[in-house]
Amino acid sequence: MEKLFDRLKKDVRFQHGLTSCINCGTCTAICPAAAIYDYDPREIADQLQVDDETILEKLLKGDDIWYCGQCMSCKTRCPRDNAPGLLILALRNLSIETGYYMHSPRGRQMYALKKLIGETILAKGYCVHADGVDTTLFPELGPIWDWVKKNSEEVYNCFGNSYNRRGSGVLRKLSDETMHELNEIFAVTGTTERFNQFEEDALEQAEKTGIDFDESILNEYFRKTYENPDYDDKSQ
Amino acid sequence: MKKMDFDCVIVGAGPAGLKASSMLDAEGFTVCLLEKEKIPGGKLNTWYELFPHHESAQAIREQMLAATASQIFTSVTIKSISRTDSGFCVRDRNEDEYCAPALLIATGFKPFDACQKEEYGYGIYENFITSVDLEQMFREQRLANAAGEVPRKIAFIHCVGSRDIKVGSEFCSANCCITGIKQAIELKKKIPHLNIYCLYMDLRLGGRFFEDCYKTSQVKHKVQFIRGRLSETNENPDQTIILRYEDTLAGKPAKLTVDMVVLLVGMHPDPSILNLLPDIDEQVGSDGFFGDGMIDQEGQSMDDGLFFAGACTGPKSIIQSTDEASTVAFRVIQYLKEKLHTETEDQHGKLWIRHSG
Amino acid sequence: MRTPIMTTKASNIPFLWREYQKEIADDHYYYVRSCIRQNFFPGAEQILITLLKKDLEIDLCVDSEHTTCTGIAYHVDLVKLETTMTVNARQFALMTEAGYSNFLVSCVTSFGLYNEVLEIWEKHPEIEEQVRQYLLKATGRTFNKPKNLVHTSDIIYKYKDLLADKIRYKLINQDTGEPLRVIDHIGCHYAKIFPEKGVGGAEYPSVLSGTVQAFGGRSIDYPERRMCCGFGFRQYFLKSSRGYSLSTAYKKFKAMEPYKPDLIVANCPGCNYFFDRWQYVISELKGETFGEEGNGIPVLSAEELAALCLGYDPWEIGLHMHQTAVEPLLIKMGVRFDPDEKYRGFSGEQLKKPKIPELLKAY
Repeated sequence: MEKLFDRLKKDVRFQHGLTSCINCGTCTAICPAAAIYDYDPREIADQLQVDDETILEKLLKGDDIWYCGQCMSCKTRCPRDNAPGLLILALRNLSIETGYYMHSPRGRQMYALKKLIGETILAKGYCVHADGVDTTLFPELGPIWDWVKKNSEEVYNCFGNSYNRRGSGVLRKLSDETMHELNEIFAVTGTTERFNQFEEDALEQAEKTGIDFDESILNEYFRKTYENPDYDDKSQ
Repeated sequence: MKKMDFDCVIVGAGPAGLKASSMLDAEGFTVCLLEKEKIPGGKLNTWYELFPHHESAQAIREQMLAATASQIFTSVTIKSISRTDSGFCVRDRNEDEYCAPALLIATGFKPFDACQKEEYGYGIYENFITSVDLEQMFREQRLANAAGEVPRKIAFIHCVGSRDIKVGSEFCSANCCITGIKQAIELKKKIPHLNIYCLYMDLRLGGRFFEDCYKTSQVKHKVQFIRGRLSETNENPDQTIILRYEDTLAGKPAKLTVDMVVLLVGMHPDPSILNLLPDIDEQVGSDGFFGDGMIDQEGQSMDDGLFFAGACTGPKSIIQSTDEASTVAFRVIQYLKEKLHTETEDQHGKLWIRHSG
Repeated sequence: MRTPIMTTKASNIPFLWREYQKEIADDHYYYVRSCIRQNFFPGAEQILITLLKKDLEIDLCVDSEHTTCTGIAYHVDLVKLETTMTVNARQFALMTEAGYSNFLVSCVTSFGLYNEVLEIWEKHPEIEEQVRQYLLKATGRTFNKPKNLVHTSDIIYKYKDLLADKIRYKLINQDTGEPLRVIDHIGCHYAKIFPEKGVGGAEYPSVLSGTVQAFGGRSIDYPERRMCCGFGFRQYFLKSSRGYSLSTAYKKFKAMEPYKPDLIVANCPGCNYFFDRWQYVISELKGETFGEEGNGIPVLSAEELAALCLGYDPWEIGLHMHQTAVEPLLIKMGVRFDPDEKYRGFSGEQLKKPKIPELLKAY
């Protein structure tokens, strides 16, 4: 069985994210997540300096690695050229690959993201598409968005006249060939498999915790992971 | 346009240059010091009190000048340095030439230009000074913020321009921590109610009595030490400064508002001499200073007559500079004696034979 | 590639990041759209195309077959690094096929991502080779790497003086004659990852403030200037952590409030979205608004700003799709606009107006 650390070291983001940490705290000082959560990017970098499988496994199974907001302010300032933000990507990636992400309620939210964003990419070719977002899921979109949704043809066609149709204006419909290529890339590079993994892991968790699950985007399990991943925490 | 001959030309009349010249004098050699500033003394002209015992920089400077009998040329701008059969010729802007078989580079260091650390706000926000600026304020007996008021809260920031890959200097300057503590003590003596915070990564206090200073600053003067490197500064509408750091001992990000910030700037190599003597480029270490830092100096060639001493070979205190200058002066003497087989009368009246070089 | 080192060994001139300029190609760009900007501020993208082609006479390729760069998916850990790199490679392949070597990016997350991918390939040629294999296998395509890769705010910055000569409306308050007070917000992924990829580096980037100044406005510094807008990628998309996004943005609004800004300009579409929408949420949740008299602070992108100053119709620019009303700014600048045309649809039909928020003023 390949050691976790050996797998982590293969990730270029780990290689570029950690040279050596002197625990100065410059990263944590300006980390937006550290200001709000009980999160400390310095501790992430410091813990990874020793090749300790136990520590790494704990990180991969824990909540700590899921707080980072990926702003990369840490990378700009580090006097030793480390980048906790990059380490986080490498850790999350390994957490998913090993399946350990399912141990953390925040990690389990990958399913919700897969439904919201992953499926949009493979269906539309964009990470986000107007047809899939509304004020039910995202109330902050505001009354203006309700208006946009109600009048989407009239609104979007003003800008390039290709709304959900072939053309080169905004929110154009991509050709079948392009969508095919995109799906092929996902398959060849392993993300399709990862998406399937998210579904399988989610199904297992839903069954374990007695939540309804089906292939629709807004199934009950989706709602739980989207709104309250700690739903199964008996202490709450 | 004059041509002058000496046994040794020393570039830089700071502590190292002055010490070396006084030793060479004592051996009966002719030495000149070339100083780019208007007055000799190097950084002794910048400091007010010296660590660790708060000795007067002015007094030490005078003492060092009195100890040397060498000719000191000031306001010298060196235009070129060339190697000759018999040694070196240094030509200045007025076309005067200073020639000698031995050349000692004692050009010292330059303080890190804190403008380069943009996230610290020096030169951008009003209430920022460096440790060098603060010494000037001590000399002028002028301790006030930009608005002319006596500050109530001052922060010292350690490691500005040192141990920082982002400014291209990864070495530790070794003397800033003690400088900060010394200055904090001086400030507290003058303004007893001042709150002082020192933001540090590590406290590097290796010199003799440095740790005592640290303890004094804590016990007698209640200087506060916070283990966290300054990440960013911001300015409030009233020009007070917000410092963002992590209190690493508590494991929490924090903000601190102060009236003034003193940046403890590192000791950086002064590269200007390299333009004049390009072939000494290989003598420059990876940190930008001369020399390689090895203990084993056996293999080091002395045949070419070029020597380095003082802060130009690495960050050091005044004592370390003068100590190194003594060692190097000894090597210069050996070199001159070998090369010149010179008859000179040393301080003990002993005769040495000079063959023309 | 090492960032420019601060001083060379033999140089006496210290390097100051805020004076740093990067290379921005003159012309012949392949343009890639942004997921967020297309959805929420489509006018900005369309007007940019018009502006570049008409006002700057730039040859711009607006191709129909490019996809997302997968930046959002990448930063929420949905897609593997290999997938992101191969999708990016496909974008480069389209650029190559269209005969271009300069790449113009609408989104700042994309900009950071493309640069990161190119940097990885630079340092690890074997990875680049593997990506080429993946792309070939999945699509049959090959690609050249772009010679110059810039963000849309870079182009506007490059031509700011030329545009400044042409603008009809300056960033000046018509009543007082004073320059408008502008908060310029730079997206994190513009310069924080690679300072050498940003005009002016990471601490004092000038890509927006330079343009603002050229157009007569004044950029304001404030204590939270460099703080992230709070997007946080997964933290925003997931309802359970959305408070992180809101709280971070709220901190910024509170910090800028005493400086009374007239306008926020941001170059990242995500930042544009958050500054625009969180003001609405804050007004509903906390009863606070940050503009004058119950208005919010209008938020514009670099494209929208340039087009507005040049005299394009605000509704053509798509400003009617902002939640935080831009009318206070239009009035300050003396921009002529027709309120009755605001909600006219593509067909010419006069659409029913959107609902007005409880507190934040809308028109």
